[in-house]
Amino acid sequence: MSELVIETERLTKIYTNSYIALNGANMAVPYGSVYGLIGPNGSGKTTTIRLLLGLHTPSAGIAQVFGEVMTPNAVHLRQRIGYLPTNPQFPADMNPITYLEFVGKLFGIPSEMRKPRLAALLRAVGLSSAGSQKIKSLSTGMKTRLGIAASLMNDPDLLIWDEPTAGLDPEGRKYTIQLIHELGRSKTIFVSSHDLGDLEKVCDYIGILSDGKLIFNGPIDNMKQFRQTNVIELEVEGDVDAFCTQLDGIEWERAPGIVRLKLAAREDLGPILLNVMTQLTKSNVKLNGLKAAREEMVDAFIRLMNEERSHGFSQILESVSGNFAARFDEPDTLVGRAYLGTADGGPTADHAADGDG
Amino acid sequence: MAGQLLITLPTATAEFIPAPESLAGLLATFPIIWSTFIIIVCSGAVASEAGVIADSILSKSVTRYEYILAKFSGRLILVLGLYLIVAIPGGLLLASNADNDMTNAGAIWGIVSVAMMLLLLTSLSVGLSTLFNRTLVALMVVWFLWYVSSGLFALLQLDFLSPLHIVDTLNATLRGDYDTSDQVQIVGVFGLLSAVTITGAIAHFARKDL
Repeated sequence: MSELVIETERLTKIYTNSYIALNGANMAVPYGSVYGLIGPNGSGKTTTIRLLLGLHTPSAGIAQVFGEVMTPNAVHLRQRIGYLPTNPQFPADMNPITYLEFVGKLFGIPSEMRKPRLAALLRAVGLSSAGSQKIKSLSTGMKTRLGIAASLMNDPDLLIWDEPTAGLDPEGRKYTIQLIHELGRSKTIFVSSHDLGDLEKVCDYIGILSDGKLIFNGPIDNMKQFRQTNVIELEVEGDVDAFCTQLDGIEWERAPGIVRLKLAAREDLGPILLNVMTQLTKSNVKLNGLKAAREEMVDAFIRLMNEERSHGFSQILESVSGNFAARFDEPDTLVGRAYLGTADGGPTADHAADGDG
Repeated sequence: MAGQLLITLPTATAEFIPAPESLAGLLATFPIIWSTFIIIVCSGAVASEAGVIADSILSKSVTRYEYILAKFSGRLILVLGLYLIVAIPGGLLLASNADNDMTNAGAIWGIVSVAMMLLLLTSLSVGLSTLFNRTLVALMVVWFLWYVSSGLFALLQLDFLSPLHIVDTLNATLRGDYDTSDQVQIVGVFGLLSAVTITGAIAHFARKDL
């Protein structure tokens, strides 16, 4: 068996020759991992997922699942996949029991296995009492849970969930993230979201899409190095103006009762904080509270992507000439930095030479 | 439809309408009147499921071929089944009338030629349903094609392809006043067009982005 459950090579989708939804994505999802595909709305996440499921055909490149090329008729591959779409649509007149029964039949699960499994799944997602209700009468959260149950009906090796937390309340999001964490122990999970905060704690690997371009693909730990800013938020009262004038060499911004200090991630914070505390005392400013935060990783990546665009024309020429692999060995490029930053190599590093992100 | 049979046959007997006219009238209702119902039922076969088809069915262990063939076969069985349930008993009952001048071969050709028209209409409706994501658009296109086709084929001097022309000649056909080669041509061309439509739709659907 291939060690990679999903592997794409220069996967590209152009709709009706007018809209580039995905642009040369190289992705690698190791067996048994949780892979998060992050990107804003319209960045190409759903297109990627539909290509992986064979619901769309690539304009160029290939998508491999379980070591085989996915096609619209590759049912033996889909037999091993559980798919949860964004805001799943169901046959309106069915109820959860008849729907799961229908899904079980589509997967060819024998009746003696199908019935107990659907009952167990409905119970697991908390829909036992709603089993006979028409699906159209269920809330968004309940429909998502039904979709989750349907995606598990065939006991898949690979789960592909497209924005499973979309439209859910905080409790629903927490439940879903917890479920991903638990299922990730026994299955490979490919999950998309526009919010990295949802997935940061449960993903082993991450891919970041922006405008159809995969700008990062690798272990989540490698991505953390791109966060460039620590933000320290001081809740203060007193002569704040005088205090701020003393903050030489520190980038700061003001909000009512708050001073935010922006510090480079790799700076030694000890002496800086000591200086800040000294200035607080000197300026007779009372410190009521202190919060530390780091720049969001996605923001960091979008910033880095924009930096790359500034010298991107040479990369386009590289791409056209097929010289993708070189970028992984170049410490000056985003992808190169991501991969060269891998301490232990990792499964994706082995595939780094296959192409760019 | 069964009611139609129950009304047509006693009326024909009571008013001494000859059997060929009665059966022709009965059969003609399918391509002329019931065709709208057929178009409505069949044009939504795939288009009406556009939103859920990928999520609920084709992301599972089902091939595109299985799905689309099930759609074609389901609609064909429904339409032709209902038609034959009305046409065959109607033909047999009217043929049993001692005074009728309907020939057995004529009755068979008449029933078969209308069946072939319905086969094409059903294939066209389901086939075009794979092209459009909105049922209404598919329905309007098929409806337009079906009802405009008679005039168009007349203009092109292809009367044997015109549903209205075939309906007009049903009476004579049932009496045995027909040219066998014309009947074979009708069956062959409608059968061929249906096969091309079904094959094209399957080929298109097999690669369509859902």
